[in-house]
Amino acid sequence: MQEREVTGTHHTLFDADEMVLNMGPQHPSTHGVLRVLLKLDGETVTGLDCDIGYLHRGVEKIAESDTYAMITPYWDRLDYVAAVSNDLCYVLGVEKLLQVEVPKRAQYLRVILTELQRIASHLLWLGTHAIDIGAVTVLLYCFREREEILKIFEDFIGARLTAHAFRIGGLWWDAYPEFEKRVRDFLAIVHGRVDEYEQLLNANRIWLGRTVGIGVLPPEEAINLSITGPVLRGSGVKYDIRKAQPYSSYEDFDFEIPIGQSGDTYDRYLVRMAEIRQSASIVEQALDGLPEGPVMAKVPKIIKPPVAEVYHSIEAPKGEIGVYLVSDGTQKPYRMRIRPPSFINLQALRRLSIGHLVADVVALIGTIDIVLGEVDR
Amino acid sequence: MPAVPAAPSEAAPTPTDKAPSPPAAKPTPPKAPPPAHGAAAKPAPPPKKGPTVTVEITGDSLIDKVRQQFGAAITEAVATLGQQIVRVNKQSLVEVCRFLHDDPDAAFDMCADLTLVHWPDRKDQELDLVINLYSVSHNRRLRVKASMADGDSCPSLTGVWAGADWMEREAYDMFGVKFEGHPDLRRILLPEDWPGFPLRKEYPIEYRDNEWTDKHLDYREVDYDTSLIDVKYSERR
Repeated sequence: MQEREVTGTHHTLFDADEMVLNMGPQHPSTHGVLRVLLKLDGETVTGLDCDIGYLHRGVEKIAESDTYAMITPYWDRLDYVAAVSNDLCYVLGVEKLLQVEVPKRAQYLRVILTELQRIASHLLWLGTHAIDIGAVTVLLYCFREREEILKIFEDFIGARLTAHAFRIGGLWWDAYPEFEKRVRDFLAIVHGRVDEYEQLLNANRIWLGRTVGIGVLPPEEAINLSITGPVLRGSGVKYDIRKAQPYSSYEDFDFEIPIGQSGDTYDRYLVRMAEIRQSASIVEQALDGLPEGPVMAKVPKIIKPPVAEVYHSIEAPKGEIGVYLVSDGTQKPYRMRIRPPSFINLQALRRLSIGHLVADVVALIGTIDIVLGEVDR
Repeated sequence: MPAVPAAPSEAAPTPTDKAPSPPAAKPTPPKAPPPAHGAAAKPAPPPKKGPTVTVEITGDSLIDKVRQQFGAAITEAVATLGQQIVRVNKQSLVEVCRFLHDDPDAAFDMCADLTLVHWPDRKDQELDLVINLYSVSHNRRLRVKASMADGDSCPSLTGVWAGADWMEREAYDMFGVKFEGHPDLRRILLPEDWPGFPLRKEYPIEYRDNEWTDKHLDYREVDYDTSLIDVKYSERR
């Protein structure tokens, strides 16, 4: 603080200097270990800097000394609330490198699991976002439905969070006998439950006050900042990799890309709610059309891709997750780059927060939907 | 009857006789030199293009336009596994990127990914900058590459795509390449005073920087006052 003369009116007395506020890394609303440095003028944010890296484990370095099959479980631990999506990205990248055609049944099962994971991830996001803003009840309801999905995963894959769901070439196991019934039971309730959340929040005065008009991101700026996923679609850009560059048979399914109009926090909420419904519809279509057949392609035991490089990205719940693999013809990748949606979307936090109040920063961290395991890798 | 148990008992000694002899011979191999720490990184085989995977791009209107516009600055335009790659001279990188961003036929408005690859065996081209671009309006991807020598700086692309900001910071953090013109080039994932750049090939994977650890992570052994515990214990008795 600079020394000021204490003479004068109270206006000059309270003409406050800028203050630096340190938020995190243990702040509950930062969803992990994100440290945000805020420069404040009164309660208005005038500057912001993110300090990340607390969870950095060097996955890209580790990958250079592991074989292709050994790397998949590391992907579970990036975005650990959407492990199945991460697996799909990596596995598809390696399959593209190997030029392997995955059986149709495996592709459909992958779609079912990935879309269920998207619902689970969005539910976790909704619950935690609401609790950050002050609505405690929603979290309990969201976790009730998420639990159903995790139970389906547990019986299919053997794990709830760090799933290791897919293998290079397909799936390790076929669906268990009650799988279809369990998923259909879940689909029967999910639409009604989303209605319940919307009843709780859509016209809730506090919710509207905390989200409408907060953190408006115009579409051109969002694209220029490399923002992807629901944040980009909330700004009104109709970009979804499932439609733009379909992978794993997404071209077989009929679904909409929900977009927002004004690009504020409320629109991003609406987009994610609509995505839950769309995902449920995709799962239903995939179950209806689930073909018979093998779930594993013929992949050699020792995976040695040709000397090549590939970039593959998919639409994860948080945005575009991508893998850039450089193969030197050996069993281990020469270089593996993870394109992390949370990390790149977090860049927008500064742009979104400046001019808003401190309390809104909490809502804005929530609306970007970050997972620090993926930000830091 | 006696012949049956006799057979195993006779057979048994032979393996046990044989078994001790290999351990007697074994003690020498374990004294092989321990794996050299870091200095001997995995020797990368020379990169060679497989004929089936990589093909030259011909007859693509956009690539032709870029070639026409920049001539010798475009050193290579190939498609690997159907993905288009354009290699650009580092000196004209920003102009090419500016063109790819602004030109209505290209309109690569999103820098999807930016990273580096380290090739220590390449002379004067040790580092490859790899940018994956995406055009939302044309739904098209393009990879732009630029080589640079070790220790060279690289022009920053934050002026073209604001999203390159953190990706360039990460690239600097992991490879030590300075991006000229970057507004705020600091380490992003690693601590500010971290020594070395981990994703370079000479950086060892199994390695712990004791100096850094001693300085920053206070691993002091806690001194328990055992005499006090004894007193309490005796008092209780």
